[in-house]
Amino acid sequence: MRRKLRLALSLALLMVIATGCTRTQSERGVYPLWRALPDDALEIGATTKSEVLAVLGPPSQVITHQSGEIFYYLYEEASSRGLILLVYNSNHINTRYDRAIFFFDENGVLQDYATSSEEAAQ
Amino acid sequence: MFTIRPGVLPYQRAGISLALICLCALLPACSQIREDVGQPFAVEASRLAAANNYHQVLDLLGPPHRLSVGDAGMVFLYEEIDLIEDQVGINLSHNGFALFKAVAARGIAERRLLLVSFDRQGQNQALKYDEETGAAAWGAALQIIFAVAGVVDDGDLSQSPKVHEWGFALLEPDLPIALNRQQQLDSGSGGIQQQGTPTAVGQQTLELRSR
Repeated sequence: MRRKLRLALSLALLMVIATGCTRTQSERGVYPLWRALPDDALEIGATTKSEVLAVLGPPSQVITHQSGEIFYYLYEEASSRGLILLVYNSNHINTRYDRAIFFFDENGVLQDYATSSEEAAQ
Repeated sequence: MFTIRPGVLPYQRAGISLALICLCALLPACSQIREDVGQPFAVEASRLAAANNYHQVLDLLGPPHRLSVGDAGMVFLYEEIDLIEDQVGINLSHNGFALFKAVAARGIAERRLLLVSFDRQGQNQALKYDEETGAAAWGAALQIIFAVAGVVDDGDLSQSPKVHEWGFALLEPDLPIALNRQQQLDSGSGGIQQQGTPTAVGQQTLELRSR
């Protein structure tokens, strides 16, 4: 009886004391090479579609519009932190997107572009 | 072997142990799962109202989270969703040892979204910013005690953008979906929809999805 009691007590205490932490990270999409581009690498009205492709690679999505095309680049990074205390557990998943978008006219010349701000991508 | 200290009788010690075991076994197994989808976007109403075309909107807010281009013009959607799932559980113990817990959960969604519409020349036609907080889903489950897994069904609010699957989606094996490809809302030319919109409505009805 006493041995059983001690065993049960030990198991119960172990479950309360034993804590676990988890951490995961995953990445998806096109790696954000646009972060490393020098300021003068892209010039509106001059840079062509093929130059953007050469520098950044294939986009995540190509959208055709009435007077040209849009290249849409997307990089997704998700990280999670978890705490398992049995009595109370928590898990926090943080998903961040880094985007870049390029508008070209019918001649394949860059009309406008934008990238998500560096702080926002953190 | 127990040793007897003055003032503490063996049956008292056993009672304390038993009480501890019961306490540990019955303590609620509560969890909180928080999911932040997308980075916060700050909207300065006055500057946004002054933005006349898509160039200025891009300068202000960066690339949209979703966009669609059609004959009538272009639509940008900026969206951020925070999901909080609170779980309350009870350890289901047997002989003082708990392996499973019964869990009830409620999911709350905090959503911020901005829709900007442009005409064929890229001039700003309309915009609307909205914030919304409310219950997203409820759920209950029997889980193993070491698990911290979501119980509520809110995957439609946190799913990855379909942009990742743009090329692959062109090879969609499900025929009703493949035939409806041109009208799909993630194609970039069939319009856009918010996260969490049921897929069995609107222009996706022909895809014969179950939900």
